[in-house]
Order: sequence, then C-alpha cells, then structure tokens
Amino acid sequence: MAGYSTDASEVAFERMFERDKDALRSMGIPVETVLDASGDVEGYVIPRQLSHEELHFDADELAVIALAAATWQAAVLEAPALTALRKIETVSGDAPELREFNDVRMTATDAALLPLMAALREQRVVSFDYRGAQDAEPVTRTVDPWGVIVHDGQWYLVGHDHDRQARRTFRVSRIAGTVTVTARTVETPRPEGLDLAEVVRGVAAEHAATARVLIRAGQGAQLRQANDAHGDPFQDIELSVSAVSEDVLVSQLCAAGTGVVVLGPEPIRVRVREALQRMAHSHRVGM
Amino acid sequence: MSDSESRLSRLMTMVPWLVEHDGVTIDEAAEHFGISPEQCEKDLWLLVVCGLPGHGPDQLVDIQFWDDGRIHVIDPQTLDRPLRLSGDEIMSLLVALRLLLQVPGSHDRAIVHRVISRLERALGAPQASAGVVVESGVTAEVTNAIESALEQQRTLTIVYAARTDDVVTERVVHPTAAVTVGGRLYLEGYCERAEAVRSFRVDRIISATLGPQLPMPVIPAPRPSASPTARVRLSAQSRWALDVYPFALVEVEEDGQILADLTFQDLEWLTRVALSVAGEMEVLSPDEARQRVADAAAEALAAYP
Repeated sequence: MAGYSTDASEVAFERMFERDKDALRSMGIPVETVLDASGDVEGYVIPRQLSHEELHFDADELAVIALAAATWQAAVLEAPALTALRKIETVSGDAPELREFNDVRMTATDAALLPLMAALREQRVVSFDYRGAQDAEPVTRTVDPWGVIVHDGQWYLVGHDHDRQARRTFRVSRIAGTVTVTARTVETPRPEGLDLAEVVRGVAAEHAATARVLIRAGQGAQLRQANDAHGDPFQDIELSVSAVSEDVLVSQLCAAGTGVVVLGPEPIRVRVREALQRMAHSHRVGM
Repeated sequence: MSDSESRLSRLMTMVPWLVEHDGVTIDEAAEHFGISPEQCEKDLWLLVVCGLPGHGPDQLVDIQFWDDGRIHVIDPQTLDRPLRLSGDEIMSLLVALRLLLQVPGSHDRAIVHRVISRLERALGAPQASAGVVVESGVTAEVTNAIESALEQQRTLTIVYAARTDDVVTERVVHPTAAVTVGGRLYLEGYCERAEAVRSFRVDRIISATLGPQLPMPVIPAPRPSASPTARVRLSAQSRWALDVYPFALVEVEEDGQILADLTFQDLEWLTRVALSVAGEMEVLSPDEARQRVADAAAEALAAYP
C-alpha cells in the first residue's frame, strides 16, 4: 500500500495504520476490528452499509442543503460541504439548480478550523502556536476547545487555556501553522449554559472594564449599539459602557470624539483626556 | 483533511453517483464533482484497479469509459452505496445552515430548522454541534422587515448606527438586495438621504419600519470617488490596530514604531481610526487629514476643562 515504507519497523507500521484508520473514520467510513478465536486481532473490515436513512431528504430539504453548500466560497469548509451534498444526492436525487445564487457568501480560509472541529467532536485537547494582539512572537497554547464561533466575518475559538487556567478567546486567524489534536480528553468541558456568542461579543468578559458616560443625541453610534442602549437614539443618554479590557474601552471612548463625555471612574477619564491631548498636540499642522 | 483523503472521499462518492447516472460524459462528471476532466479520468483509472483482496479480475470495480467518452459502471463491487456523512461534512453544512437562519431570503426557515436537527442527530456529538456558533448580530425583527420590503417592493425607514462618522441617522431606503459577503450581512438600496445607492451593514440597523410601496427612484450615476491614502506612524504597543484596520505595512522602524499606509474614502472614518488608537497613532500625511484629527481631538477635549 502506498505510504507504507517496506523497511518500516512493526511499531511504525502500527502507527501509520492507526493514523489511516482514523482518517477513514473521519471520512465516514466505519472500520471494524475482527478478532480470532483467541481474542487476537485478525484483521480489519469495512462493513457494507445497509441503511442510508440519514441521507434521505425530501425535495425541500435537499434545496436547503444545496443552498447551504453553495454559501461557502474559497473556504476550507467548501469541499466537505460539497461532498456531503453529493452523497445525499446519490440517495435523494439531484438537488435543484440554484438560479444565480450569489447573495449569501461565507468565507473560512483558516486551515485550523477543520482540526478544531474534529477536536470538538472527539472532546480532545488541542495545542497550537498563537500570536496574540500584543505578542511579537507566537507562543504555544494548550486548550480545551469549547466552541468555534464566526462573528463579524471572523472565526474565534473559545476554550479553557491550560497554562493560564482560565477561559480564553482566540482569533483563529492568529493561529500560526497547524493545530495538533492531542490524544488527551478535555479537562475542563464547556460550562453549562455558557453563551459562546456572548463571550465573543465581549458581553461575558471576565475582566471587563466599565465607565459611566454621557452620549450626545444622535452620536456615539458604536457605543450605543455595543452596550444595548435602549430608548431613543436621538436623545442624550447617560449610560454604563463596558468592554473586554480597559485598553479597548479607552479606545472606544476616544473614537467617539465629541459624541461622548466620560463621567467616571477617574482613571479612565484621565486616560481618555490624556490620549486626546496627545492627539491634538501631535497633529498640530506645521509640527 | 489531506489531499489524498479528500480524493479518497471523492472516489468513494463517485461510484454510487455514476451508477445512478449511467452514460454521463467525463466532462459532466468532472463538473459535478468540481474537478478537471483530466483529474476525473485519473480518478476513473484508479477506481478500475480497486477491489477486494484477491485481485482477480472479477473482484475489481469495472467501469467502462474509453469507448464513447461516456461512463458506464459494469460492476461497482461494494462501492455502489454512498458513505455516511463524515463529521467534517456535517459540521460544514451546519455552520452554513445556521447562517441561513439569520439572513434575509426566500428560504423557508422551518425547513432549515428541520435539516439542522436531522444533521445534529446524525453527527451524534451534542458538544460539537452546540460548539459551532454563527453570530451575525442581526435581530429577527430587522431580518423580517428587510424580507418583507424586498418581497413587496416597499421602502424601509431604518435607524442606522454608522461607523464612518459614529452618528445615528434615520434614513428612508428603497431596498434592492440583501447580500452576505464573507459572513457579513448587507442591505443594498437607494438611500433618499444620500441620494445615492448605499450598502448598510444589517447588524448596525437599530430598527427597520416598513414604509409604503413606492416606485424605485431614478438612480443617478455614481460619481467616481477618489480613495486617497494616508501615511501613519503607530507606536510599538499599538500593533493590534494592524489586525483591526486594513493597513498596508510600510516598515517597522528600529525602535519598534510602525510606518503604515491606510486607504480611506471618508475623512471622518480616518479620523475615527486615528482617535481609536488612543494617542498611539500619528497621521503623517496628507495635511488635510492631520488638521482634521487635530481639530477632532481638540473639540472632544473641550468636554474636559
């Protein structure tokens, strides 16, 4: 068989064979172990499949699946989605032609997504090199994966970071190289009732910074939206605003310019004022 | 999945399909599986040497495809049935289906829900299916209003939280399409306030109210707009901005400061970007942009006497 070196030791052969069995299983091909009378491994068989109930979809469902498969564009998830559609078509009949369907497009170019999804299915620990926003060089991180979330066109991994012993959110695009799916089972599974979408939006941040602000009528659009400001957006409003960290909060408050006045706490008010002073000073034309 | 794995996966899917579609041409089969006719022919040659142990001629897959350019499966051996869906395949569909639940369109959401729950059952890994989340940030009220407006050709009055100038505005829009690009949802249409065609991020629409049926206004040809470029310097600790905004890196200076270019269409947007880097970014050129950032910072400072 190709890929099996003839001079490979028995151990190496076993390892390669285990890897290939895993690959077959991940493709949806069941591999069964056959034991002889004394309980030793006699061989492996791929059983003929008898039931394809799971591939039977009615015409309406088939149309929806075709629509879903067509949303992927230049994405690592495009090939598996298309293969799934082809398998379903062999049992359920061909999907209807999509007429000029081009109004829902989703991208996922990060190769890390497939191993992360496999780790989620098998509940296994992953490790990868990661360059955080403040890191000059990538650092190896070991994580119990809780979920992958696509938000605002970006993919995120949320999980329990082993070294930091805490929940962390990772941008999948900042993962350098490949993701290793280890043989270890996750130590800390996803807590019951944790809303992953809220984690990624920053709502459920553990070290959030909060400030009290006045937002002027019709202004501060981003702060109003990010902090669920109910009520009339065309009125002045006093509001508590939060962000995942103090740095992010100061950035948002500065960006709002004349639209917002920081009322407190004093350290954040001072940081915003000093940042604005530096901006005003350094940009004076002619300097 | 490696290239050889995805090829194997395709080969296993190919035979049952060919059995169902006896007599298709190589070109047709290639198109169906999204591969070149040459690759398709290579796959077929590989398939005819596949079979059960023993390797006798009667234990090989027998496919005839060289006489008339049409493919006939004579003996599919055990490959005539498709494989079960793999975990990757199910999850790829689940993500896309969850997006379809949130975007405006003519698809029936009840059916999407039904397919999702069937695929979740087939996956059999509740931790994994619950762990794949699509968060488009749009509300059902806004999605429904957009759908109705497009269907009934009515106007929409939207309250829009723009990011360009960070201002909330009320606008009457004549919608022409809802599109999703890279997982982000946009409403396109003629905006009465701008007197031009505009794209609005759906997750930034605070509310949407259906208006009357009005004829589509005559849309003036868009004025060609220039996109100038600003040269900026970022401090070493503000490299996060490179991820957030579409900067083109020029060079990293010896002290770690970063020179970068940023193309902008709207001076207000560039000013917001500069302010958001909280004193750690200096616009070097053009002068007009330096002046605007200086003014904006000074105006905001007036609130902190």
